[in-house]
Amino acid sequence: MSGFACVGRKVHKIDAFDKVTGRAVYGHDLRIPGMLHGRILRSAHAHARIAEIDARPALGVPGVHAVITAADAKTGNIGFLQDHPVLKGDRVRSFRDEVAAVAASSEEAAEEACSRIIVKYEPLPAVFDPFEAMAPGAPQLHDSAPANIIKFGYDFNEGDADKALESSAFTAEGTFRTHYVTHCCMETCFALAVFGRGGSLTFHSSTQIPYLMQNTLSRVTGVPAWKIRIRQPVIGGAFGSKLDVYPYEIIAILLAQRTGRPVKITYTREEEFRCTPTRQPMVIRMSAGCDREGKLTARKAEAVLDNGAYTSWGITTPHIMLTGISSLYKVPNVSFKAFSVYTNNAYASAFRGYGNPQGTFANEQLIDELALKAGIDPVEFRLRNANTPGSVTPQRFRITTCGLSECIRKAAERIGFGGPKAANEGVGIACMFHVGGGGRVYKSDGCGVIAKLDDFGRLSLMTGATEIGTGSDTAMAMIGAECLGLPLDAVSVINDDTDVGPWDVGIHASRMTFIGGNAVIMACEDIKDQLREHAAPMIGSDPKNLEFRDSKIIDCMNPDRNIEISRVVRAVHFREKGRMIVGKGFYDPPNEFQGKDFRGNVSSTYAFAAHAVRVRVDPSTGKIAVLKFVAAHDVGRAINPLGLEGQVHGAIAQGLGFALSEQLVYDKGRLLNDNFTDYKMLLARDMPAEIEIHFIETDDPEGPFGAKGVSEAGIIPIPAAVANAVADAVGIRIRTLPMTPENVHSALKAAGKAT
Amino acid sequence: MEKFEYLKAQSLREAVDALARNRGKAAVLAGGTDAIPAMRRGKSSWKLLVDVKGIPSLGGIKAGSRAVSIGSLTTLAELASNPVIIEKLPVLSATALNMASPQVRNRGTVGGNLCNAAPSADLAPPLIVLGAKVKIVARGGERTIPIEEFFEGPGITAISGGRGILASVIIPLPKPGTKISFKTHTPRMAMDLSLVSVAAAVRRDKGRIAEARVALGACAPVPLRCRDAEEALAGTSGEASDAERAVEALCAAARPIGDVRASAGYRRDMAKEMARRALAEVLS
Repeated sequence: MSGFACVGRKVHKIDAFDKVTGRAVYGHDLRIPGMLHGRILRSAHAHARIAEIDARPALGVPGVHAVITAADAKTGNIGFLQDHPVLKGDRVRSFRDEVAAVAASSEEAAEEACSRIIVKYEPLPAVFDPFEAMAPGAPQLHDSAPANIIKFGYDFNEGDADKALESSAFTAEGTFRTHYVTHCCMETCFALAVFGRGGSLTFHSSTQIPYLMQNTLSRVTGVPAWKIRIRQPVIGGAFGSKLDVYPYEIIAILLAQRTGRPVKITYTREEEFRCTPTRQPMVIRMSAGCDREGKLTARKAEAVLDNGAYTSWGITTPHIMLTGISSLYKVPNVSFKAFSVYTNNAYASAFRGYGNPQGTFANEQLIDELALKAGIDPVEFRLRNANTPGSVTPQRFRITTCGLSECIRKAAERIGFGGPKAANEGVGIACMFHVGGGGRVYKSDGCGVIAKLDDFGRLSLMTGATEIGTGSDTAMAMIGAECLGLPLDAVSVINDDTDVGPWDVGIHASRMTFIGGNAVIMACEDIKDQLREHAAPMIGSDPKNLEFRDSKIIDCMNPDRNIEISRVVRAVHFREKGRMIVGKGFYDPPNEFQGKDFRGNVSSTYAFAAHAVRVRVDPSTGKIAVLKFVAAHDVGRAINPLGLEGQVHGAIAQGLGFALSEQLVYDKGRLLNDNFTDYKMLLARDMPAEIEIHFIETDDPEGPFGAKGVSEAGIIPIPAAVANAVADAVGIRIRTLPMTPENVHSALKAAGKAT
Repeated sequence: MEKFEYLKAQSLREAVDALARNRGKAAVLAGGTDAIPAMRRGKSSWKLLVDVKGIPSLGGIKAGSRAVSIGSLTTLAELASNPVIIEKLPVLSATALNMASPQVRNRGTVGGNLCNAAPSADLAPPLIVLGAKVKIVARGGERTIPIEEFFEGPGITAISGGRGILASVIIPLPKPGTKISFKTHTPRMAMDLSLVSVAAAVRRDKGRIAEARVALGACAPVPLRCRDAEEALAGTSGEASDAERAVEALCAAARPIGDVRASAGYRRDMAKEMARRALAEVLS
């Protein structure tokens, strides 16, 4: 073992007990005296002009305090390209469009009032496919985008991919399609806006970006940012969905402003399905080549993204898709293009893995196809091309620690690659590359921690680092406990208030344990320096000989000289010219913000993983049974192995759902399955009977106690690994997700392989 | 959710009267696992819910020497765990155990599953092949009809519109030599609705098939008893070719729709596959 007291121990998450016993206070639980309930009326058409809105009938409903439409909402636009009006005035472009909103004393009254608002629409022709949207004569959605093509794209070239492909011994290519899935957070969206003294706004939110949100709310509503305080209750899941600011949040503020009362909007589950953003769907055309020895020569990819009607983070998902395409394995020549097209569909946002699961679905299937053509075992093929420490990728990512080869070997060995298989059984492997040491996707990648030690030896970590269920609070508390030699119970993480916590850029890019953990170490080092200075004269030791363990400060040269940490704090407080014991840490990793050339070391270390699956395909129904799943991850160091296992288990459930069963089904822009009956998340009995999770500990020099970020990693290789296993089982390549029984059966029929 | 009146019926007569008086505007409330979500989602807007949970005569499983009677208030969980059902009618306990989730099985009732009349209702095909009858209590008195005549359309039964209450299901005990199979096709292993289901019951007498019953779920507006398939089997020795003729007859009867869950074509293919599996099991 590592010789750590706390780090590396399997511990229950510090918030687990409250969550499983119903004690945790989520946004849904918040009630404030005088609070009104807000509700939103949405478009009845995929695309239409709004001729007239008559909101007066809604005001006649008992309990209604306010009705607002675009005419009342003098706000700026929101979204990545600020193309998204909060309330739509003259035109709606999708079924989820917000047309009017009501604040009432009960949810029922608000709902009733919404149903009484009369909106006259003049329907317009609509378009639901990005390729049709680019065609001449297609309905035009935004003036800024002729042919609906958004002037924000990706173009990256390293070497000469075309030439390299031409001269490659073997090439493989294909068109891959990924679909609409959604986050399915256990807690549906909520927003609670409360105005107070001097027009100050307290906004209760499950956001992943409390400090960036202050800025956006201010810009859009005109409330000065310094008057906006974000409070975060326990957050019931996010997975990237809460990295943007959405109309319902602004609407809650507008209704609170209008009524002078706190206003809360809570989504129903149906609204959650219909109105929250999705994972970015993509059509990816990709080719790859290798030489006779199976060394990769080039990769070329072009992706077209259905942007939906407005622009959230979906349009930027190619940024992260590119990282996998350029940097998973050593490949000298890379060409990558991606652009987004407006349609009257749903818009996409961030979702665990960003664009990487989509890109890896294509990338890793082509690896198998190349291996087959080159006559090389797919495991051996991957090992020949695996990233190695000290290498630099085409995007100038500097690979430091890298356990990819060990991950591949472990996954292949444990799934039984090359071993016996029953009829219609197959094994598949896929790897992944992702940021693991923060990700400088904003100019800042920083996180602050203020650590306070009290009279009784309790350590409070005040931070802007948000916990969305990843276990980052627990990891940060464990790191704090480790640094000061305190029991884990004596550490609390306070991160629910922008008035208290120092700056953090947000919880994204698997960064929280890595970045926040390093900030905790820095804050604790600050505290330790102070304690050493105070404790040394108390026990007659040299400050530099003092160590922290078992809640004590101990002289390592003479362990009999020791003192309780809490006693030192009390002594410092209760004296003339007293002091307090507060430490500060601000960690901003040594990584780089990329320029327009998409080059620069965006993360200070990188995460690697290999997943291997064993499947059985039923050729008469198309049903895929995942019999065994092996996940091997380079995690740097497992701070809390139990939490990590939970992360990977969750990723397997979510990733297999993405691969096999989850799908938002739209008919001309209208969602047909806004419920868990027909949106099929996989359940306990659908999970593989055997799941093995292996951690490869590469002890990253930049990571807190060697750890890397791993939150997203688990989902990234899954659809590709399953598709590779299906190809091994029944000899068909599935290039379109999801691999539902019906889709697989239809592919088997087309290949004459259905029975 | 719209406002509604709630009546806790003290007797079967009171419930039947209340439903008849509010024809088309009232619904029975038993487990509430279908009625309440439908009202919440605005899919139905009953003015009156008649709660029948307090009527003792609607509950309980009674075993006789020739038949078992299952009260309509019997929960799916009770059906799944009842020793008599497990011993005498294991196809029903297994089917119930595979339906919904433990929480829903604790609330949802046998009567609710049948009266909701979803074409995909999983209890219907096995009950049809078991030769079950349903006892209906109406203002004019009691009557008993074969279960396949109970279903009149999606969501419509012989008692829709306040025409009575489903009191119980009466199932004759299968005669010796009877084999029963029920195959469902669901994308998930649990908490899923059947895309297609096929039930088959076959009784052999001296090698020949003396009696055959076949039923198809989720492939027509109602759970379908398929007499053509039964005739294809009756009197034969149950060879593979006989089974195949029955499968063809069943496929000819299937008129599935395409919807968010599956295309009509896939449902047809799966009807054939589930029919093959069910018949292979009962003819083995």
